[in-house]
Amino acid sequence: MNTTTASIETTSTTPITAEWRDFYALTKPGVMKLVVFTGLCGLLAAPGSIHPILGLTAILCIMLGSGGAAALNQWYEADIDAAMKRTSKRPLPARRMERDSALHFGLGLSALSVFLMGVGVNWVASGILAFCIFFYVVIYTMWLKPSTPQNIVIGGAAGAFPPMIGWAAVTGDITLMPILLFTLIFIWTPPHFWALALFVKSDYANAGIPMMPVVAGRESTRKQILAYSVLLAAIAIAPTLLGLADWIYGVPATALSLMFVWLAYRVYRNTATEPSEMKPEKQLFAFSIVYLFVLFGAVVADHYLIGWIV
Amino acid sequence: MNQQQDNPAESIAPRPPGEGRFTGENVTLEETHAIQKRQRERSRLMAVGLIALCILFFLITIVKIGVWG
Repeated sequence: MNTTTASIETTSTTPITAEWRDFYALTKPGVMKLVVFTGLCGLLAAPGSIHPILGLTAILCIMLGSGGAAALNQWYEADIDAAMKRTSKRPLPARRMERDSALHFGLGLSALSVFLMGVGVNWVASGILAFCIFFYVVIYTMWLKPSTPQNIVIGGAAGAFPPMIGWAAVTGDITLMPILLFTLIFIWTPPHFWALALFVKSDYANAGIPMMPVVAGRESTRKQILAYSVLLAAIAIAPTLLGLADWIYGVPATALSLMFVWLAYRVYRNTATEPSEMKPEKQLFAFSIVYLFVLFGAVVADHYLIGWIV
Repeated sequence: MNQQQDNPAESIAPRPPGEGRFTGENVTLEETHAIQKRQRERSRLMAVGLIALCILFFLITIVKIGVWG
């Protein structure tokens, strides 16, 4: 028996001692960046001030909470991840980690983030963070995602909470502006994910996930992407129209929202069935990420620069 | 190759309690060294994390009691 065969045969009985990189991968660092960024923007755009140490603590808690929720999501979805090409290299489906380790890691991070936010910052922000983790893990991952094509519409709320948490960390309450920021991400999520789902449809179908393109078809999904994009544009310019933000936010928000609707219109007009021909979908998906980063950056710039300019 | 590796979905199915735990049996010397290296790395990171947490709690306390306004 050669060494290779011996190594493979012992795989099922040898311990799985995950590397720290596997735990890091479990936190979905890519998603975490967007979550932390929107949370930071909510914190910076809020009226009033917060001590830098407490501000950093709030951001750390959002980061830990996001990582914990992502770990719990991967713990629950390990079998689905194994069936999808895009996710099959993650630590659990690739068998680089024990499933229990992911569960304990996720629960530990989540509990620590909520406790630290409550003790260090305030209990309003802590409560919203706890609800956000619960919403993502239980309502979205366990309930909605496997059962309805509207999963991403309602589940998008989980990703929309961070700016509200950042805002609440400073003010201790919730007003119209953080609700608009929440709504912005909430309405942004469906066109963002459906654009992705259109060109990875077969992956979702193989895993039995009822994403919109799998259940309702491409044409219906493209129509809904356009409808949500128009609604998104309206939400994006609402803070300026309501007098909650000035032109530093208003100008880029209007320009980028028009661009978003234009790209969504191109997706709507596209009839391609092969992923290789879905350039508009890929462009919309990539642009949607830039769109959110720029809009939230503009909210902060508007808050700080308008007083300085005027 | 065993069947667990052929089907990734089956490979993450729940296993009997104790299976896969480190017992020192059926593990080559190289694997033992690799496992110990990973454990050391994880232990170091855990220590750094706990120390950072202690410092953070100390700083939060200082801020809360008003020493830094």
